[in-house]
Amino acid sequence: MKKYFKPYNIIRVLVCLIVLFLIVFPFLWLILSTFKMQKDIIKWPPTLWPKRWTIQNYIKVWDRIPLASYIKNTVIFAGAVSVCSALVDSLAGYAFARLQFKGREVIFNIVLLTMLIPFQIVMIPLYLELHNFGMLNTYLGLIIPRAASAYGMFFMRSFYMGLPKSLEEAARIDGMSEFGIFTKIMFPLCKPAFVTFFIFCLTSNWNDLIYPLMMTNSTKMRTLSAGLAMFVGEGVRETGPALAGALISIAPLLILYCFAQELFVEGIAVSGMKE
Amino acid sequence: MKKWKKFAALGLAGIMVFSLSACGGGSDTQEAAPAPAPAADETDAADGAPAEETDGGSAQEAKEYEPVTLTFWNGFTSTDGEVLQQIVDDFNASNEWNITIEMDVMPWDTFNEKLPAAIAAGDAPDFVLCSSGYYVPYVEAGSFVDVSEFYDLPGVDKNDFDPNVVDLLYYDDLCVGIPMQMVSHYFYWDKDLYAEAGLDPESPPETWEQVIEYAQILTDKSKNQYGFLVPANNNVTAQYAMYAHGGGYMNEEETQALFNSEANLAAFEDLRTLYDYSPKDSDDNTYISGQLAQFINGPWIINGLRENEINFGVAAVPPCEGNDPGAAVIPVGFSIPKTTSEEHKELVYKFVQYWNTEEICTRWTKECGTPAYLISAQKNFADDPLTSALSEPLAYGHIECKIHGVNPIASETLYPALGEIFADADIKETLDKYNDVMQGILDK
Amino acid sequence: MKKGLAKWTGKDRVGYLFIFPGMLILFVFTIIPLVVSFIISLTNLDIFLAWPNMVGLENFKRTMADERVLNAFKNTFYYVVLSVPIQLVAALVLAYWLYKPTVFNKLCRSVFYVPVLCSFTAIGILFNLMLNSTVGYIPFLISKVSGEPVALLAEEKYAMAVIIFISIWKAFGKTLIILVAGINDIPGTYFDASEVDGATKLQQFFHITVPNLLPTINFTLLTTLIGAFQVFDAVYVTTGGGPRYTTETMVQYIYLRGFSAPYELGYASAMCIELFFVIAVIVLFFKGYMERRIQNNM
Repeated sequence: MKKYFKPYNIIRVLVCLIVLFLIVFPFLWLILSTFKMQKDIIKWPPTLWPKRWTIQNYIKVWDRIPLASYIKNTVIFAGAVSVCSALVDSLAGYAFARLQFKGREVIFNIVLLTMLIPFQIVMIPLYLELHNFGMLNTYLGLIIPRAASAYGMFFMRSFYMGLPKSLEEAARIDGMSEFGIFTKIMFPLCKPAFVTFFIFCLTSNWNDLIYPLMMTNSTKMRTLSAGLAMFVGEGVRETGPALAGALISIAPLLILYCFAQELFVEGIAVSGMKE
Repeated sequence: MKKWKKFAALGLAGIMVFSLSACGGGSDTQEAAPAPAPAADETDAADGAPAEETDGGSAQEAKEYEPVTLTFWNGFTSTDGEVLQQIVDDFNASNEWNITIEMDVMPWDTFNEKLPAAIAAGDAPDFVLCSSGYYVPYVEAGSFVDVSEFYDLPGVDKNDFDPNVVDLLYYDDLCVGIPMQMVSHYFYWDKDLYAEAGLDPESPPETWEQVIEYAQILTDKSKNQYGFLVPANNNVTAQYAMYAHGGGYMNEEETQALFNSEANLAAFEDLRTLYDYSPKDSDDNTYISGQLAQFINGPWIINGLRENEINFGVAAVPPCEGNDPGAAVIPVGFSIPKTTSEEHKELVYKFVQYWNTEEICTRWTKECGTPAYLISAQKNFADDPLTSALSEPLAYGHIECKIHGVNPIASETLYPALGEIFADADIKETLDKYNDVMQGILDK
Repeated sequence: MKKGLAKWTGKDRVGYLFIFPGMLILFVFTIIPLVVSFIISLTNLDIFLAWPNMVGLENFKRTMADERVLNAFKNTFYYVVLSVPIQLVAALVLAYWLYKPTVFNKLCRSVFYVPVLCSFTAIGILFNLMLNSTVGYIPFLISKVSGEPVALLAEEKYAMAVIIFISIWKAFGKTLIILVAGINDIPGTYFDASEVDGATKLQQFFHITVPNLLPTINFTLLTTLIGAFQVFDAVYVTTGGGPRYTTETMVQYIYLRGFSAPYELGYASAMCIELFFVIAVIVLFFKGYMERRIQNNM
């Protein structure tokens, strides 16, 4: 018990609580604002607690945008991209980490360098490319360009480099094929990294605005983030509904994150993330 | 394995090159393949090709019309977009030509990012909305076709359009759009704050000088209350200050920069004074906060003011004593990309005609608060002072920087000038400096 | 010597097979558009894609004379130099404090990750609301202390600092999670042994934790660095580059030039290429340095 009151612990807990507060407070503001009327949100002096509770904002969101359709699109898009990317990047990451082949470092550096260009500049050439392939405004057209990512390959490579070499050496001596080694030994060990990256990938694609907006031409194919943008107009901003939309958008991710917690952080611990 | 990769790469490159060359010579760039307009083939409705080619959608007699889908892009998000969608839905349900309009809404930024690429790729929608602030590059690139034939269609009453309004959408001889909405900017005041400060809530300032006078009375920093708003990132207020003094950016032909005129000098002096009575930051939330006693803004703010239960008044922006009033007008027009087929163009005119009727124009004004520009619709608001006030500037307003586009001009000259002046730079020097910059742009 | 045929041995082939799907997609959908951008930077293409003229290096020469490019680079460096170390150090220290799986720790870690789950659009709306000097809570608090509400995002001396704060606020949870995982990987025996020897927490941190964590730190350093140089969303949703260009970063300026009139895609691409080289040099430098450190450590 005495351990808990050592000065080190006190500082530690105090600082963590401060950071906790810094994070929670804006979110509290966000959540409470979704239950306020517009004039309660936009006023001086501003108050945290709603004067009158209302669910008007949520109703507006439901009425204005086809929520069900957007959620469906977002789930398909982000979900498929994450699954594909996690799989493909695992393969590539393992190869970059553990397999020897000519030009391995050079190719990996090229992969790293592709992360250096901001999306805005490649989006028009990409748009034209997808148009040429006839893939605009299709699920395939949204998913395939994102089905592999440089960040993912980097992430997986880091992970695989941390696994002990002895495992694969032994398997190789036993005469297993490389593919077999991967599927039967390496990949199962990397489940936690797989889940972690899956969540990272899901999060970033779930919230991506420009990419789905550019590559689709009809509201049928829009995602949640595009729906959110509908509440901000020229010279008009419907803060309440926009925040309500944001909360609705984040809810599935939050739920998924809670469930995945177990595999998440503790899990990676099995073999770590060494270079 | 490397060999495989090389072949795959070559193969893919080959396919791309092949598809580009196969799609017709005269390809614009190495990427764009200007295929003939596929006429909304992304949609699932049956494309009415056979019926159109034989009799044409413009046949007057009631024929069996094949269902047709028209694609429509615009940037009307938020509440206005909702009303627009309802009107489109009504049209879809009631029109006799079996037209279904699929409307795609996106933020204007995205619209301007996508449309040019879409036109070049042959992927563009059948028709769009475009506002005068965005027209210039499209006009220069020849993206939109001339739509003046609309006014000669049977059933369209050209006299119902205010001539100034029609003219605003002409760039030289090119009629690039048909009016959809007209907005200008107005002077708003908070009647409650006026009463609290001892001013008569029913009499707004009649001259620009009075605006400044009242602003001082209405500012009370201890209550975080301000008498005016001079935004540093928005051109509207500064422009109206210039108009009040009879100044402006440049001459009408847009060949001579007049940024450092005497009139503007006085205007910027006023702006600096007003800056003291203004909050230092501003966004959409500031205008409806109830802490701002006077400001200049467009009609779109009215819904927000109403929702926040602000007791406001609206009037045209007053000029200086003895000057004529000036105003900027921003038309939004229906435009048709050059890739749209003739048949679809005829059908687009049907919707545009539907829009420009007294009924719809009145409805749009009622629900969105923008001024009515059809003479027949204006009559419906004769006894509504607020809405009539909105139409006033339409008679004398002009489009600011029509040929060059006001946004690039403002961001290269006005915003930096304002920034420097508010940081206490010498006004004359600053205006001279940016006058040269503007002249440089005009000379190109 | 089989060396000449080394490429075609089974071992190599497997490696290529493994990376094939990923590299194919990356090649077609990232590398090709990238190459096209390189080409565009040599033209005066505008967004209407009308047949452009090759202008060679003229775009690049123009960037040298453009004050705003210099300003944008300066702002970007300022942003990177502040945000990257702060984010990494904060995440590292917190990771060290929160890696054990206690209830308090798990709660903190989860909460810290929540901002990462939000979209920047939502964060922009929220923070604009809270920082607005007429209706925002932060200026309200400031006015209680100093008498006058300060418009943080409109003041030249505070705007960038606020943006840095918002960025770190949003992103550090992710870095934290990765570092915690890395720490959990260090065998507990190392710590136990050192405790027997009487090491303090501080000594343990610097002599056990950090050296063993170097590979993970390398990963987070490089990815954070790359992201920081390309900062755009945080600026776009709050200040858009103002006040008076003090928060205009490279990508923000590139976006402005390319996507608002007069839509000079060629010029914007040229600036992008310059940014690319700057980041490449810095990243490869750090990568080399870190990997040497790690080798020495082994």
